[in-house]
Amino acid sequence: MSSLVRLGNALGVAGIALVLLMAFGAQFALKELPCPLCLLQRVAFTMCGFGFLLNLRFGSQPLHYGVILLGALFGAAAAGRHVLLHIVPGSGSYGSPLLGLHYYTWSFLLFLAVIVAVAVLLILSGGGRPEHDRFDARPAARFSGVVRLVAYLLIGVTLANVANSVVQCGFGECSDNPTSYWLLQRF
Amino acid sequence: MTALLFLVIGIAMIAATAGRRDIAVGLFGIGVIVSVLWLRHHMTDPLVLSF
Repeated sequence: MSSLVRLGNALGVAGIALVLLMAFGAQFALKELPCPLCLLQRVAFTMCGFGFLLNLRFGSQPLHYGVILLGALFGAAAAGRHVLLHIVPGSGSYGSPLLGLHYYTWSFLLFLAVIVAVAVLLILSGGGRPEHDRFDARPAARFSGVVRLVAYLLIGVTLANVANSVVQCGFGECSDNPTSYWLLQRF
Repeated sequence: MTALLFLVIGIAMIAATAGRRDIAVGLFGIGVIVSVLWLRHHMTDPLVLSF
């Protein structure tokens, strides 16, 4: 894999981890609990991060880019649905705006950005190389250095979302408009 | 239920890190299917889009 494509995928993993950390930051700092659609958008971000992770671990391959695109399209569908719920003036909103846009609008834009990033990485993966070498299918390479750090950060924040979902919603369905944590109410 | 979705993707990431790509991609596939079904389950409110 060219170093530029590897850097792009590492930035993808780091960016997704950063977005998920910022979501946690807003949740705890502003005491705004994520709604079911918000959580599904977080799931979609983890799916995108998983695709970037596959590229870093096993080399740049069409399957991995397909994984990222599926995650981004699923996220765009969830975020788009959320935007449409509040698009008509007077229909309210969910959560505080950040730089003038609500989180679900940012999510929608970020999923579009991921799709654009995949297009760029695909072009960089195939450009100027012989047909048989378009995608690098080298043997799996273990993570090292900064790549290991961002990969473990993404896995950690994904598992933190498991804990957060259990604490907030338990093992059933999340409240449409959550105001308290399910588990904390049990004590 | 949402915790389960995060868990499936999280385990897929760990499997990928351990070099088990087939398991990782399989888990991702399951995660996508369940996520789409869960999104459909939550799309209950009618959209007010009459301008």
